[in-house]
Amino acid sequence: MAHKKTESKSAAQPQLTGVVAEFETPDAVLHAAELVRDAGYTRWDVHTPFPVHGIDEAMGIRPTILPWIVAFMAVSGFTGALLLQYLANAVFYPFIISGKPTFAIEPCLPVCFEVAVLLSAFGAFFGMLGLNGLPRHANDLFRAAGFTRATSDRFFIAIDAADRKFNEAESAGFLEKLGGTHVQKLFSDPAGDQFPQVLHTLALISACIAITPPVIVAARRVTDQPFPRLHLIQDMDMQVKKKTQKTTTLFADGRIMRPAINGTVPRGGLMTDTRKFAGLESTSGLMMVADAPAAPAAAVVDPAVAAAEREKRPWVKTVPVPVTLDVLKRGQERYRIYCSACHGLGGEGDGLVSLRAVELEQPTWTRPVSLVSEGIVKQPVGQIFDTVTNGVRRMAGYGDQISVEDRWAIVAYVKALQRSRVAPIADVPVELLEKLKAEAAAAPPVGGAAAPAVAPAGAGGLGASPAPAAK
Amino acid sequence: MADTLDHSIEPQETVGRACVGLSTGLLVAGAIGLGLTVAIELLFGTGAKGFFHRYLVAFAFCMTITLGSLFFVLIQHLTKAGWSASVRRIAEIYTLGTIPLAVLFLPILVSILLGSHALYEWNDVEHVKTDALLLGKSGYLNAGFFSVRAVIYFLVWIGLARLFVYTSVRQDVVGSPDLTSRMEAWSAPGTLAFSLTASFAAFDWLMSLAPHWYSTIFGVYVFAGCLVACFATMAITVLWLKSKGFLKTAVNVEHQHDLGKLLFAFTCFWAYIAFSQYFLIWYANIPEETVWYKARLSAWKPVSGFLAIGHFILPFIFFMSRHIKRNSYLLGFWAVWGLLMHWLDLYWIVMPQMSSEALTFSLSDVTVLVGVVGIWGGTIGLLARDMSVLAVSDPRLPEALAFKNL
Ligand code: HEC
Repeated sequence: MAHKKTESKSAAQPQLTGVVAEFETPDAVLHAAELVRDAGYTRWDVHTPFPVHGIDEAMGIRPTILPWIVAFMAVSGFTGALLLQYLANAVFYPFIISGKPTFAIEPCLPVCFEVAVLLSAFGAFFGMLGLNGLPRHANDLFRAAGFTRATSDRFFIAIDAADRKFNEAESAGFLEKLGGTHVQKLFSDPAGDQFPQVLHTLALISACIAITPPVIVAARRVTDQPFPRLHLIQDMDMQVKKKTQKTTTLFADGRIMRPAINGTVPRGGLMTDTRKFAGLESTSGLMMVADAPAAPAAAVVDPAVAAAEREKRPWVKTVPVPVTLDVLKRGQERYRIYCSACHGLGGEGDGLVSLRAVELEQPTWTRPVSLVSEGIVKQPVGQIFDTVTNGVRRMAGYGDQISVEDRWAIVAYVKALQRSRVAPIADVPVELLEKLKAEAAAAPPVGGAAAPAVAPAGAGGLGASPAPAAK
Repeated sequence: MADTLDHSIEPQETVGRACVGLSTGLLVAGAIGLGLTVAIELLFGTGAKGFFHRYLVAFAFCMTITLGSLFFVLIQHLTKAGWSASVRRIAEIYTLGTIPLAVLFLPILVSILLGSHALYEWNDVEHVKTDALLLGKSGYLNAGFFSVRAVIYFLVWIGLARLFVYTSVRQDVVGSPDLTSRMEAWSAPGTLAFSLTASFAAFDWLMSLAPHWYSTIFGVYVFAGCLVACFATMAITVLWLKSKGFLKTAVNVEHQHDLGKLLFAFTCFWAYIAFSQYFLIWYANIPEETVWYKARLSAWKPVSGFLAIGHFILPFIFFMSRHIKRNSYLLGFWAVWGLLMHWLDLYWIVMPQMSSEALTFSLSDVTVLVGVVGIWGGTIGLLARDMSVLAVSDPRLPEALAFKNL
């Protein structure tokens, strides 16, 4: 610290930094400038209250490279903006908006233009500052007597002491010879040339203020918060629009969700294909689920009568949608999600939920039916579809959760499960058979808990099942 | 400074006699050109349709140069510009082109009054009855009102041109600065009248070629072309006059640099307006607007692309530098290039309306251009034969002579 103090004290000794001379007219300064140039000085400057034509030439200033900086900035602005838009629109978020191609040059051009203009303005401004060595907070010239007239009616030539040709005695005399008056020597500030302390403090404070918001944001992002985030900017989070299940004063009945208008069908709601949507050949003479208000009346019907009536409905006997391997795979997947918990992976009614309920001796638990039992095998597919859709006795319906197509896929998969029980050994692919034989030899099969590998392959037929397939 | 001024006022600044031979030559060439065009179109071409479309391109070419010059004169007075006093007379002389152009417009006008719809679909009365859009526009687009408007345009333009040229020429003799004040006073209402008439003329003569289509910016688009054409022509004229020994001291590299800057600026302005027009139509994507570009983006696509590159990108890159604008040869090259591109621009506006499926370039495009430019230029030359090419008594001339670009 002490060492530093002495050092700054020595710097406070005024040093000669240049000479300045005053001229009365633009012509005089122009002429003098030519002579200074010809004398070979390089670090010097002319100060005038207004632009003097020809001064660049008189001073021997080479054309500035600023235009090239501006050009470079413009080109990088243009290409940068183009790249940004390309990446955003064509690569990262390729959305089709109002039928336009995800990426087209047309909408990019205004942005490219604006960014090119912005960057070239920056290039011009900061480039100019940089090339001129600005900003400077002090200049020894400002302490020269009468120099303020450089902004009103006097012209000055100042030669820097750093110039190689500068000579303390000669340079001042030289300017005088050129017609300069009030020739003065310039000295460095005895108070030191340091950046004012108060500005340092201000800069530090504003830097702290400036980084506070990002720091808070960053902190919030990496730590757990027990409170919901501050909702400073509401954007469109709170809207006057009504959400589902809310009430309104707009309609007499107060419901915000409107029933379909009489005689209209919502998109995708036209379900005239009864084979596909109800699993029935025809609905004539039947009471459909859609006629729900009648349900309480049905409750008094004797369950046995209802069951008998159900058996007699004209169920479809074939799956009314095309069945492909993909559909079966989809069915397998959906079955495992929606049905296997109760009916078991193999459909034998030994799902984990059921096993657990039995283990706990839950009195209300009804054991799920084995889907591969004779009674269900004989059921037409339409009836199974109806079971999945509307439920049966103690089983709930899944029509609201599973789409029509997926329900049929499940039904097809259930049929595949059933088929696998009665498949002849010849249906099993040879290599799979070998593998299974090897497995069977290694460990004697236990119960039917194992799921069939792939449904259509019908590997289940090999287990402990009583199927006639096991020759 | 004073002796510079003395130098510039030389009696031989009057182009006068030297011009008469050239003007007569131009008139003869013009007559031959037009005759050839009629012959080519009737014998090998598409008849009246082809002739009138090509004629309209050439007519619009001269019209836009003339209108651009008129605007230049108006705006110099409106802004009390000093630098341009040394070149303003050239623009003033070009505004005299309104007179031959009024005559050159007669073939179009007469054919429309006779009921021809070779050029404008909206003049087909039977067809209009079956076309809801055209029927809706028929209150504006009909032969009678079209002719009335054309007459008004020419009255306004010729009136303004004569006012400014003859006042300025009288100042050469009288030397009174009051005349400058008078012209400045007239320039404000003149600019207003100009902007309305020029926009509506663009709508009437060029936009109504596609009567179902409309673009509110179209007037500005044509106006941008007018100024490109005007500055290119002025630059070429200045360079030509200087090569002939005129204006040697009055017009220096600073003025040439300024003409170059304006040419460059309006080339960019043209691109800005052209893109704005295209961009909005592209974005909205409404059939009645896109139809115009559809005709220009199929068979004409290469021309459209060439126009974008030639009319904007090339000059933007290679005509930007001040060194190029200050070099007479390069300035001359880019001025000629600008004029060519302006012609192509007009061709691209007009011709796809005649044939959107195929390009229509033909020898008669050249002959008709020679024809119309010949008659237009020849008449201007004869009308201006006693005028000085420099406004010698303009009170701002000393300012113009002392002017320097930083
Ligand atoms: C929560 C457990 C559970 C789930 C999940 C479940 N079921 Fe059931 N299912 C049952 C029970 C319990 C029964 C027997 C109901 C009765 O007898 O009261 C049954 C019965 C059935 C029957 C026989 C109906 C009849 O006519 O006898 C079929 C077929 C059936 N389920 C298919 C499925 C299908 C397909 C799925 C998958 C979409 C499924 N179940 C999902 C519990 C379930």
